[in-house]
Amino acid sequence: MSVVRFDNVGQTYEIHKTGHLVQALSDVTFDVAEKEFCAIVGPSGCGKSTLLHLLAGLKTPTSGEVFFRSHKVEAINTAVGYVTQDSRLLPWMTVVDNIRLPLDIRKVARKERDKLVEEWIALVGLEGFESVYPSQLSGGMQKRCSIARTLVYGPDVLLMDEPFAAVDAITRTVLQQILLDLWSNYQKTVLFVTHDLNEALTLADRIIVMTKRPGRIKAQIEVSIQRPRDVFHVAELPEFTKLHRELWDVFRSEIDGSLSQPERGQD
Amino acid sequence: MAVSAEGDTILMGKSTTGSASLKRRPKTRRSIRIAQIISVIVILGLWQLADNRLFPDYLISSPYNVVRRLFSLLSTVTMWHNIGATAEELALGYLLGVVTGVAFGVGLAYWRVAGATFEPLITIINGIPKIALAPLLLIWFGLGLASKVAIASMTVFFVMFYNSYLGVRSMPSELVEVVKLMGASRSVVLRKVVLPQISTPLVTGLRSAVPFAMIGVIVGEFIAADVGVGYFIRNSSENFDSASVFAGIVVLVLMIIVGTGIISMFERWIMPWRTHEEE
Repeated sequence: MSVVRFDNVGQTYEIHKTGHLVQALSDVTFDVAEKEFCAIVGPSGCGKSTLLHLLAGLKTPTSGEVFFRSHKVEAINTAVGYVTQDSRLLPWMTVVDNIRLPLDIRKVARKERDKLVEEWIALVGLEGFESVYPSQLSGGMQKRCSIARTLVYGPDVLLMDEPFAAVDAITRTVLQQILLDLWSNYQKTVLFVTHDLNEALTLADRIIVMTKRPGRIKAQIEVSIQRPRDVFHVAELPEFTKLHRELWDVFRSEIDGSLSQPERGQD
Repeated sequence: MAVSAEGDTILMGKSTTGSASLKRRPKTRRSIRIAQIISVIVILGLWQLADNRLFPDYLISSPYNVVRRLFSLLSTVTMWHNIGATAEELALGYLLGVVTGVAFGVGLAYWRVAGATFEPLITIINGIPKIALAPLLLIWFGLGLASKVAIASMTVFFVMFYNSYLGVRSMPSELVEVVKLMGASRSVVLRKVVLPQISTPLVTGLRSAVPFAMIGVIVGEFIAADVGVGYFIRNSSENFDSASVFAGIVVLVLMIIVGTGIISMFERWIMPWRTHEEE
Protein backbone atom coordinates (compact mmCIF):
# COMPACT_ATOMS: atom_id res chain seq x y z
CA MET A 1 0.00 0.00 0.00
CA SER A 2 1.37 3.38 -0.83
CA VAL A 3 1.66 5.99 1.88
CA VAL A 4 2.21 8.89 -0.44
CA ARG A 5 0.87 9.44 -3.90
CA PHE A 6 1.54 12.32 -6.26
CA ASP A 7 -1.02 12.29 -9.05
CA ASN A 8 -0.28 14.45 -12.10
CA VAL A 9 0.94 17.26 -9.89
CA GLY A 10 1.79 20.58 -11.45
CA GLN A 11 2.85 23.73 -9.67
CA THR A 12 3.06 27.22 -11.06
CA TYR A 13 4.03 30.21 -9.00
CA GLU A 14 4.15 33.90 -9.59
CA ILE A 15 7.41 35.74 -9.08
CA HIS A 16 6.81 38.39 -6.47
CA LYS A 17 6.08 41.87 -7.84
CA THR A 18 6.90 41.17 -11.51
CA GLY A 19 3.90 38.85 -11.82
CA HIS A 20 5.98 36.60 -14.06
CA LEU A 21 4.68 33.02 -13.97
CA VAL A 22 7.12 30.17 -13.42
CA GLN A 23 6.25 26.54 -13.77
CA ALA A 24 8.03 24.61 -11.05
CA LEU A 25 6.53 21.17 -11.51
CA SER A 26 4.77 19.46 -14.35
CA ASP A 27 2.95 16.11 -14.48
CA VAL A 28 4.65 14.55 -11.52
CA THR A 29 3.24 11.14 -10.67
CA PHE A 30 4.79 8.69 -8.25
CA ASP A 31 4.06 6.61 -5.17
CA VAL A 32 6.05 5.98 -2.05
CA ALA A 33 5.52 2.67 -0.30
CA GLU A 34 5.28 2.05 3.43
CA LYS A 35 8.74 2.02 5.09
CA GLU A 36 10.44 2.94 1.85
CA PHE A 37 13.44 5.25 1.81
CA CYS A 38 12.90 7.33 -1.29
CA ALA A 39 15.41 9.93 -2.43
CA ILE A 40 14.58 12.71 -4.85
CA VAL A 41 17.49 14.21 -6.76
CA GLY A 42 17.55 16.88 -9.40
CA PRO A 43 19.31 20.06 -10.45
CA SER A 44 18.67 23.12 -8.32
CA GLY A 45 15.43 24.88 -9.14
CA CYS A 46 13.73 21.69 -10.30
CA GLY A 47 10.98 21.85 -7.69
CA LYS A 48 12.11 18.98 -5.46
CA SER A 49 11.53 20.98 -2.30
CA THR A 50 8.14 22.01 -3.63
CA LEU A 51 7.15 18.33 -3.62
CA LEU A 52 7.77 18.21 0.13
CA HIS A 53 5.93 21.49 0.68
CA LEU A 54 2.92 20.06 -1.13
CA LEU A 55 2.97 16.88 0.90
CA ALA A 56 3.27 18.83 4.15
CA GLY A 57 0.29 20.91 3.10
CA LEU A 58 2.29 24.15 3.18
CA LYS A 59 1.34 24.74 -0.46
CA THR A 60 -1.47 23.50 -2.67
CA PRO A 61 -0.74 22.18 -6.16
CA THR A 62 -1.90 24.24 -9.12
CA SER A 63 -3.00 21.06 -10.83
CA GLY A 64 -3.25 17.41 -9.87
CA GLU A 65 -3.58 15.96 -6.40
CA VAL A 66 -1.38 14.85 -3.53
CA PHE A 67 -2.54 11.98 -1.35
CA PHE A 68 -1.33 11.00 2.08
CA ARG A 69 -2.59 7.63 3.28
CA SER A 70 -5.32 7.85 0.59
CA HIS A 71 -6.54 11.23 1.90
CA LYS A 72 -6.09 14.28 -0.26
CA VAL A 73 -3.69 16.76 1.38
CA GLU A 74 -5.66 19.98 1.79
CA ALA A 75 -4.41 21.47 5.05
CA ILE A 76 -1.23 21.40 7.12
CA ASN A 77 -0.26 17.76 7.37
CA THR A 78 0.66 17.19 11.00
CA ALA A 79 1.19 13.47 10.45
CA VAL A 80 4.57 14.02 8.81
CA GLY A 81 7.87 15.03 10.34
CA TYR A 82 9.75 17.71 8.46
CA VAL A 83 13.50 18.30 8.60
CA THR A 84 15.05 21.11 6.61
CA GLN A 85 18.52 22.27 5.67
CA ASP A 86 18.55 24.94 8.36
CA SER A 87 17.75 23.37 11.68
CA ARG A 88 14.91 25.75 12.54
CA LEU A 89 15.30 25.28 16.25
CA LEU A 90 13.62 27.88 18.42
CA PRO A 91 16.54 30.05 19.58
CA TRP A 92 14.85 30.93 22.88
CA MET A 93 14.57 27.32 23.99
CA THR A 94 17.25 24.99 25.27
CA VAL A 95 17.96 21.68 23.55
CA VAL A 96 15.69 19.80 25.93
CA ASP A 97 12.87 22.34 25.56
CA ASN A 98 13.11 22.25 21.77
CA ILE A 99 12.82 18.48 21.74
CA ARG A 100 10.01 18.58 24.29
CA LEU A 101 7.96 21.14 22.35
CA PRO A 102 6.17 18.79 19.90
CA LEU A 103 5.24 16.52 22.81
CA ASP A 104 3.84 19.45 24.76
CA ILE A 105 1.87 20.53 21.71
CA ARG A 106 0.49 17.00 21.40
CA LYS A 107 -0.29 16.95 25.11
CA VAL A 108 1.73 13.85 25.86
CA ALA A 109 1.58 12.94 29.55
CA ARG A 110 4.48 14.35 31.52
CA LYS A 111 6.00 11.05 32.54
CA GLU A 112 6.02 9.61 29.05
CA ARG A 113 7.15 12.92 27.63
CA ASP A 114 10.21 13.11 29.85
CA LYS A 115 11.09 9.52 29.11
CA LEU A 116 10.87 10.10 25.34
CA VAL A 117 12.90 13.30 25.48
CA GLU A 118 15.65 11.61 27.47
CA GLU A 119 15.63 8.64 25.12
CA TRP A 120 15.96 10.78 22.00
CA ILE A 121 18.65 13.00 23.44
CA ALA A 122 20.64 9.81 24.00
CA LEU A 123 19.81 8.40 20.55
CA VAL A 124 21.22 11.44 18.74
CA GLY A 125 24.13 11.77 21.19
CA LEU A 126 23.30 15.09 22.80
CA GLU A 127 23.73 14.01 26.44
CA GLY A 128 25.28 16.78 28.46
CA PHE A 129 23.89 19.47 26.16
CA GLU A 130 20.32 19.42 27.49
CA SER A 131 20.29 22.92 28.91
CA VAL A 132 22.31 24.57 26.16
CA TYR A 133 20.78 27.06 23.71
CA PRO A 134 20.94 26.34 19.94
CA SER A 135 23.24 29.32 19.34
CA GLN A 136 25.86 27.56 21.47
CA LEU A 137 25.75 24.35 19.40
CA SER A 138 27.75 23.48 16.28
CA GLY A 139 25.86 23.02 13.01
CA GLY A 140 26.06 19.24 13.29
CA MET A 141 24.71 19.27 16.83
CA GLN A 142 21.88 21.59 15.85
CA LYS A 143 21.04 19.07 13.16
CA ARG A 144 21.01 16.23 15.69
CA CYS A 145 18.71 18.27 17.88
CA SER A 146 16.39 19.03 14.98
CA ILE A 147 16.26 15.34 14.01
CA ALA A 148 15.46 14.35 17.60
CA ARG A 149 12.77 17.03 17.77
CA THR A 150 11.17 15.67 14.61
CA LEU A 151 11.36 11.99 15.52
CA VAL A 152 10.44 12.32 19.19
CA TYR A 153 6.72 12.49 18.48
CA GLY A 154 6.85 9.45 16.29
CA PRO A 155 5.68 10.58 12.83
CA ASP A 156 5.99 7.51 10.62
CA VAL A 157 6.66 9.58 7.50
CA LEU A 158 9.69 11.83 7.38
CA LEU A 159 10.19 14.61 4.86
CA MET A 160 13.82 15.65 4.69
CA ASP A 161 14.83 18.62 2.58
CA GLU A 162 18.59 18.53 2.03
CA PRO A 163 18.99 18.06 5.76
CA PHE A 164 22.76 17.51 5.70
CA ALA A 165 23.71 20.00 2.98
CA ALA A 166 25.03 22.60 5.39
CA VAL A 167 27.29 20.43 7.57
CA ASP A 168 30.86 19.34 6.92
CA ALA A 169 31.63 16.04 5.17
CA ILE A 170 32.60 14.05 8.27
CA THR A 171 29.63 15.23 10.30
CA ARG A 172 27.40 14.47 7.33
CA THR A 173 28.59 10.87 7.19
CA VAL A 174 28.00 10.43 10.91
CA LEU A 175 24.52 11.93 10.63
CA GLN A 176 23.73 9.69 7.65
CA GLN A 177 24.63 6.64 9.71
CA ILE A 178 22.46 7.87 12.60
CA LEU A 179 19.59 8.41 10.19
CA LEU A 180 19.94 4.97 8.61
CA ASP A 181 20.05 3.29 12.02
CA LEU A 182 16.98 5.18 13.17
CA TRP A 183 15.20 4.41 9.94
CA SER A 184 15.76 0.68 10.19
CA ASN A 185 15.04 0.55 13.93
CA TYR A 186 11.89 2.64 13.81
CA GLN A 187 10.44 1.59 10.45
CA LYS A 188 9.88 5.00 8.95
CA THR A 189 8.90 6.05 5.47
CA VAL A 190 11.34 8.70 4.26
CA LEU A 191 11.23 11.19 1.40
CA PHE A 192 14.70 12.59 1.17
CA VAL A 193 15.49 15.52 -1.13
CA THR A 194 19.14 16.00 -2.00
CA HIS A 195 21.37 17.17 -4.82
CA ASP A 196 24.13 14.83 -3.72
CA LEU A 197 24.08 11.64 -5.79
CA ASN A 198 26.38 9.80 -3.38
CA GLU A 199 24.11 10.64 -0.49
CA ALA A 200 21.07 9.39 -2.39
CA LEU A 201 22.81 6.12 -3.26
CA THR A 202 24.08 5.64 0.28
CA LEU A 203 20.70 6.05 1.91
CA ALA A 204 17.83 5.27 -0.43
CA ASP A 205 15.91 2.24 -1.67
CA ARG A 206 14.82 4.14 -4.72
CA ILE A 207 16.01 7.35 -6.35
CA ILE A 208 13.70 9.60 -8.31
CA VAL A 209 15.60 11.77 -10.76
CA MET A 210 13.92 15.04 -11.71
CA THR A 211 14.50 17.11 -14.82
CA LYS A 212 15.39 20.75 -14.65
CA ARG A 213 12.51 23.21 -14.42
CA PRO A 214 9.69 22.58 -14.95
CA GLY A 215 10.45 19.53 -12.85
CA ARG A 216 9.30 16.21 -14.27
CA ILE A 217 10.30 12.73 -13.33
CA LYS A 218 13.12 11.72 -15.61
CA ALA A 219 13.98 8.30 -14.22
CA GLN A 220 13.57 6.09 -11.21
CA ILE A 221 16.44 3.94 -10.08
CA GLU A 222 16.16 1.06 -7.63
CA VAL A 223 19.12 0.92 -5.29
CA SER A 224 19.74 -2.75 -4.76
CA ILE A 225 22.67 -2.36 -2.37
CA GLN A 226 22.20 -4.71 0.57
CA ARG A 227 21.15 -3.51 4.00
CA PRO A 228 22.16 -2.79 6.66
CA ARG A 229 24.56 -0.39 4.97
CA ASP A 230 27.74 0.98 6.45
CA VAL A 231 27.84 4.57 5.22
CA PHE A 232 31.58 4.76 5.79
CA HIS A 233 32.32 1.95 3.33
CA VAL A 234 29.27 1.65 1.11
CA ALA A 235 30.94 3.61 -1.70
CA GLU A 236 33.58 0.89 -2.02
CA LEU A 237 31.03 -1.71 -3.15
CA PRO A 238 31.09 -2.54 -6.89
CA GLU A 239 27.30 -2.14 -7.03
CA PHE A 240 27.63 1.39 -5.74
CA THR A 241 30.08 2.31 -8.50
CA LYS A 242 27.85 0.76 -11.13
CA LEU A 243 24.72 2.56 -9.88
CA HIS A 244 26.61 5.79 -9.52
CA ARG A 245 27.65 5.64 -13.17
CA GLU A 246 24.10 4.84 -14.20
CA LEU A 247 22.67 7.68 -12.11
CA TRP A 248 25.26 10.14 -13.28
CA ASP A 249 24.52 9.33 -16.94
CA VAL A 250 20.86 10.11 -16.36
CA PHE A 251 21.67 13.21 -14.40
CA ARG A 252 24.34 14.69 -16.62
CA SER A 253 22.07 15.80 -19.46
CA GLU A 254 20.12 17.92 -16.93
CA ILE A 255 23.28 19.49 -15.54
CA ASP A 256 24.67 20.21 -19.03
CA GLY A 257 21.48 21.96 -19.90
CA SER A 258 21.56 24.17 -16.86
CA LEU A 259 25.20 25.08 -17.37
CA SER A 260 24.36 27.00 -20.51
CA GLN A 261 21.27 28.51 -18.88
CA PRO A 262 21.87 30.58 -15.78
CA GLU A 263 19.75 29.47 -12.83
CA ARG A 264 17.12 31.63 -11.26
CA GLY A 265 14.19 31.17 -8.95
CA GLN A 266 13.65 28.85 -6.06
CA ASP A 267 14.05 25.16 -5.55
CA MET B 1 45.47 64.80 28.07
CA ALA B 2 48.02 63.47 30.49
CA VAL B 3 45.92 60.39 31.06
CA SER B 4 45.51 59.44 27.41
CA ALA B 5 49.23 59.91 26.78
CA GLU B 6 49.97 57.64 29.69
CA GLY B 7 47.51 55.08 28.34
CA ASP B 8 49.28 55.09 24.98
CA THR B 9 52.69 54.44 26.43
CA ILE B 10 51.33 51.50 28.39
CA LEU B 11 49.90 50.05 25.18
CA MET B 12 53.09 50.50 23.20
CA GLY B 13 55.20 48.98 25.92
CA LYS B 14 53.06 45.86 26.06
CA SER B 15 52.49 45.35 22.35
CA THR B 16 55.87 43.65 21.88
CA THR B 17 54.96 40.81 24.24
CA GLY B 18 52.80 37.90 23.22
CA SER B 19 50.04 38.52 25.73
CA ALA B 20 49.61 42.13 24.66
CA SER B 21 46.23 41.62 23.01
CA LEU B 22 44.86 40.01 26.15
CA LYS B 23 46.08 42.73 28.45
CA ARG B 24 45.35 45.64 26.17
CA ARG B 25 41.58 45.69 26.55
CA PRO B 26 41.13 46.18 30.30
CA LYS B 27 43.93 48.77 30.29
CA THR B 28 42.31 50.75 27.46
CA ARG B 29 38.97 50.47 29.13
CA ARG B 30 40.37 51.72 32.40
CA SER B 31 42.11 54.72 30.81
CA ILE B 32 38.89 55.61 28.97
CA ARG B 33 37.02 55.40 32.25
CA ILE B 34 39.56 57.70 33.91
CA ALA B 35 39.29 60.15 31.00
CA GLN B 36 35.49 60.13 31.34
CA ILE B 37 35.61 60.89 35.04
CA ILE B 38 38.14 63.66 34.51
CA SER B 39 36.06 65.27 31.74
CA VAL B 40 33.02 65.33 34.02
CA ILE B 41 35.09 66.87 36.83
CA VAL B 42 36.47 69.50 34.41
CA ILE B 43 32.96 70.45 33.20
CA LEU B 44 31.64 70.69 36.76
CA GLY B 45 34.71 72.72 37.73
CA LEU B 46 34.19 75.18 34.87
CA TRP B 47 30.54 75.45 35.82
CA GLN B 48 31.52 76.16 39.42
CA LEU B 49 34.04 78.81 38.30
CA ALA B 50 31.58 80.46 35.89
CA ASP B 51 28.99 80.94 38.61
CA ASN B 52 28.82 84.59 39.72
CA ARG B 53 31.87 85.34 37.55
CA LEU B 54 30.65 84.84 33.95
CA PHE B 55 26.95 84.48 34.76
CA PRO B 56 24.82 85.50 37.72
CA ASP B 57 23.90 82.76 40.19
CA TYR B 58 20.16 82.94 39.53
CA LEU B 59 20.78 81.86 35.91
CA ILE B 60 23.16 78.92 36.21
CA SER B 61 23.60 78.24 39.93
CA SER B 62 26.63 76.01 40.62
CA PRO B 63 27.30 72.31 41.20
CA TYR B 64 27.96 72.97 44.86
CA ASN B 65 24.69 74.85 45.30
CA VAL B 66 22.76 72.26 43.31
CA VAL B 67 24.05 69.39 45.44
CA ARG B 68 23.35 71.31 48.63
CA ARG B 69 19.85 72.16 47.41
CA LEU B 70 19.28 68.57 46.37
CA PHE B 71 20.11 67.25 49.84
CA SER B 72 18.04 69.88 51.63
CA LEU B 73 15.11 69.15 49.29
CA LEU B 74 15.38 65.41 49.84
CA SER B 75 14.98 65.99 53.57
CA THR B 76 11.60 67.65 53.04
CA VAL B 77 8.30 65.78 52.91
CA THR B 78 7.05 67.98 50.06
CA MET B 79 9.83 66.87 47.70
CA TRP B 80 9.19 63.20 48.41
CA HIS B 81 5.55 63.91 47.81
CA ASN B 82 6.50 65.35 44.40
CA ILE B 83 8.74 62.41 43.59
CA GLY B 84 6.03 59.97 44.65
CA ALA B 85 3.42 61.65 42.45
CA THR B 86 5.71 61.70 39.40
CA ALA B 87 6.77 58.09 39.99
CA GLU B 88 3.16 56.98 40.23
CA GLU B 89 2.18 58.80 37.02
CA LEU B 90 5.26 57.44 35.30
CA ALA B 91 4.65 53.84 36.35
CA LEU B 92 0.94 53.84 35.57
CA GLY B 93 1.36 55.66 32.25
CA TYR B 94 4.18 53.37 31.26
CA LEU B 95 2.32 50.17 32.12
CA LEU B 96 -0.87 51.27 30.43
CA GLY B 97 1.01 52.35 27.31
CA VAL B 98 3.00 49.12 27.16
CA VAL B 99 -0.02 46.85 27.59
CA THR B 100 -2.21 48.65 25.05
CA GLY B 101 0.65 49.24 22.59
CA VAL B 102 1.73 45.58 22.59
CA ALA B 103 -1.86 44.33 22.43
CA PHE B 104 -2.66 46.50 19.42
CA GLY B 105 0.69 45.88 17.76
CA VAL B 106 0.49 42.10 18.03
CA GLY B 107 -3.23 42.06 17.29
CA LEU B 108 -3.04 44.16 14.14
CA ALA B 109 0.00 42.32 12.85
CA TYR B 110 -1.64 38.97 13.46
CA TRP B 111 -5.00 39.77 11.88
CA ARG B 112 -3.91 41.10 8.53
CA VAL B 113 -7.23 42.65 7.52
CA ALA B 114 -7.44 44.73 10.67
CA GLY B 115 -3.78 45.64 10.29
CA ALA B 116 -4.25 46.83 6.72
CA THR B 117 -7.28 48.86 7.83
CA PHE B 118 -5.80 50.60 10.84
CA GLU B 119 -2.11 50.89 10.03
CA PRO B 120 -2.42 54.06 7.90
CA LEU B 121 -4.64 55.65 10.52
CA ILE B 122 -2.18 54.93 13.31
CA THR B 123 0.68 56.22 11.17
CA ILE B 124 -1.18 59.50 10.65
CA ILE B 125 -1.94 59.84 14.34
CA ASN B 126 1.68 59.04 15.14
CA GLY B 127 2.69 61.92 12.85
CA ILE B 128 1.06 64.35 15.27
CA PRO B 129 3.59 65.65 17.80
CA LYS B 130 2.17 63.96 20.90
CA ILE B 131 2.91 66.94 23.09
CA ALA B 132 0.42 69.00 21.06
CA LEU B 133 -2.32 66.65 22.27
CA ALA B 134 -1.40 67.15 25.92
CA PRO B 135 -3.66 70.20 26.52
CA LEU B 136 -6.57 68.26 25.03
CA LEU B 137 -5.93 65.32 27.34
CA LEU B 138 -5.83 67.73 30.27
CA ILE B 139 -9.30 68.96 29.33
CA TRP B 140 -10.55 65.37 29.10
CA PHE B 141 -8.89 63.92 32.17
CA GLY B 142 -8.63 66.86 34.55
CA LEU B 143 -5.66 68.37 36.32
CA GLY B 144 -4.79 65.38 38.50
CA LEU B 145 -3.10 62.03 38.03
CA ALA B 146 -5.31 60.75 35.19
CA SER B 147 -4.24 63.35 32.63
CA LYS B 148 -0.51 62.73 33.23
CA VAL B 149 -1.06 59.00 32.96
CA ALA B 150 -2.98 59.56 29.71
CA ILE B 151 -0.23 61.69 28.13
CA ALA B 152 2.54 59.30 29.22
CA SER B 153 0.69 56.19 28.09
CA MET B 154 -0.06 57.80 24.73
CA THR B 155 3.62 58.43 23.99
CA VAL B 156 4.53 54.93 25.21
CA PHE B 157 1.68 53.37 23.22
CA PHE B 158 3.13 54.44 19.88
CA VAL B 159 6.66 53.29 20.72
CA MET B 160 5.40 49.88 21.80
CA PHE B 161 2.85 49.61 19.01
CA TYR B 162 5.44 50.06 16.27
CA ASN B 163 8.01 47.81 17.89
CA SER B 164 5.62 44.92 18.37
CA TYR B 165 3.79 45.42 15.06
CA LEU B 166 6.99 45.43 13.01
CA GLY B 167 8.36 42.62 15.19
CA VAL B 168 5.50 40.32 14.31
CA ARG B 169 5.55 41.33 10.66
CA SER B 170 9.22 40.45 10.37
CA MET B 171 8.52 36.98 11.79
CA PRO B 172 10.56 34.22 10.12
CA SER B 173 7.75 32.18 8.63
CA GLU B 174 9.90 29.01 8.69
CA LEU B 175 9.73 28.80 12.48
CA VAL B 176 5.98 29.25 12.41
CA GLU B 177 5.74 26.57 9.72
CA VAL B 178 7.80 24.11 11.72
CA VAL B 179 5.68 24.54 14.82
CA LYS B 180 2.43 24.34 12.85
CA LEU B 181 3.60 21.04 11.36
CA MET B 182 4.01 19.75 14.90
CA GLY B 183 0.31 20.39 15.27
CA ALA B 184 0.42 23.71 17.09
CA SER B 185 -2.73 25.80 17.37
CA ARG B 186 -2.78 29.54 16.81
CA SER B 187 -2.40 30.27 20.48
CA VAL B 188 0.59 27.94 20.79
CA VAL B 189 2.22 29.61 17.78
CA LEU B 190 1.61 32.95 19.49
CA ARG B 191 3.07 31.88 22.83
CA LYS B 192 5.97 29.74 21.66
CA VAL B 193 7.10 31.56 18.52
CA VAL B 194 5.55 34.99 18.03
CA LEU B 195 6.00 36.44 21.51
CA PRO B 196 9.59 35.21 21.99
CA GLN B 197 10.45 36.36 18.48
CA ILE B 198 9.18 39.87 19.07
CA SER B 199 10.72 40.06 22.51
CA THR B 200 13.90 41.56 21.06
CA PRO B 201 12.23 44.60 19.39
CA LEU B 202 9.83 44.61 22.32
CA VAL B 203 12.53 44.92 24.94
CA THR B 204 14.27 47.59 22.87
CA GLY B 205 10.92 49.38 22.90
CA LEU B 206 10.47 48.81 26.63
CA ARG B 207 13.79 50.46 27.33
CA SER B 208 13.38 53.44 25.04
CA ALA B 209 9.81 53.95 26.28
CA VAL B 210 11.00 54.89 29.81
CA PRO B 211 12.29 58.38 28.86
CA PHE B 212 9.27 58.80 26.55
CA ALA B 213 6.93 58.15 29.45
CA MET B 214 8.90 60.65 31.51
CA ILE B 215 8.54 63.31 28.80
CA GLY B 216 4.79 62.74 28.79
CA VAL B 217 4.50 63.02 32.56
CA ILE B 218 6.69 66.12 32.81
CA VAL B 219 4.87 67.90 29.99
CA GLY B 220 1.59 67.21 31.76
CA GLU B 221 2.99 68.55 35.00
CA PHE B 222 4.41 71.62 33.27
CA ILE B 223 1.04 72.54 31.80
CA ALA B 224 -1.15 72.04 34.82
CA ALA B 225 -0.51 70.29 38.12
CA ASP B 226 -0.19 71.02 41.81
CA VAL B 227 2.24 68.24 42.64
CA GLY B 228 5.11 66.35 40.94
CA VAL B 229 8.75 66.92 40.02
CA GLY B 230 7.73 68.62 36.76
CA TYR B 231 5.48 70.98 38.72
CA PHE B 232 8.34 71.62 41.14
CA ILE B 233 10.76 72.44 38.28
CA ARG B 234 8.33 74.82 36.62
CA ASN B 235 7.52 76.48 39.91
CA SER B 236 11.21 76.90 40.75
CA SER B 237 11.94 78.41 37.34
CA GLU B 238 9.16 80.95 37.84
CA ASN B 239 10.96 81.96 41.04
CA PHE B 240 14.34 82.15 39.22
CA ASP B 241 15.57 79.43 41.55
CA SER B 242 17.91 77.67 39.14
CA ALA B 243 19.54 75.56 41.86
CA SER B 244 16.16 73.93 42.48
CA VAL B 245 15.55 73.54 38.74
CA PHE B 246 18.84 71.68 38.39
CA ALA B 247 18.14 69.63 41.52
CA GLY B 248 14.76 68.66 40.03
CA ILE B 249 16.44 67.64 36.77
CA VAL B 250 18.94 65.50 38.71
CA VAL B 251 16.00 63.82 40.42
CA LEU B 252 14.39 63.10 37.02
CA VAL B 253 17.62 61.64 35.66
CA LEU B 254 17.92 59.40 38.70
CA MET B 255 14.33 58.26 38.26
CA ILE B 256 14.95 57.38 34.61
CA ILE B 257 18.11 55.48 35.57
CA VAL B 258 16.17 53.50 38.17
CA GLY B 259 13.33 52.84 35.69
CA THR B 260 15.68 51.68 32.94
CA GLY B 261 17.54 49.52 35.45
CA ILE B 262 14.32 47.76 36.40
CA ILE B 263 13.58 47.14 32.71
CA SER B 264 17.08 45.73 32.14
CA MET B 265 16.61 43.31 35.02
CA PHE B 266 13.29 42.29 33.53
CA GLU B 267 15.00 41.79 30.16
CA ARG B 268 17.62 39.42 31.58
CA TRP B 269 14.86 37.53 33.33
CA ILE B 270 12.57 37.00 30.32
CA MET B 271 15.27 36.50 27.67
CA PRO B 272 18.03 34.36 29.16
CA TRP B 273 19.04 33.13 25.69
CA ARG B 274 20.21 36.58 24.64
CA THR B 275 23.02 36.79 27.15
CA HIS B 276 24.23 33.46 25.82
CA GLU B 277 24.34 34.75 22.27
CA GLU B 278 26.48 37.66 23.29
CA GLU B 279 29.14 35.44 24.87
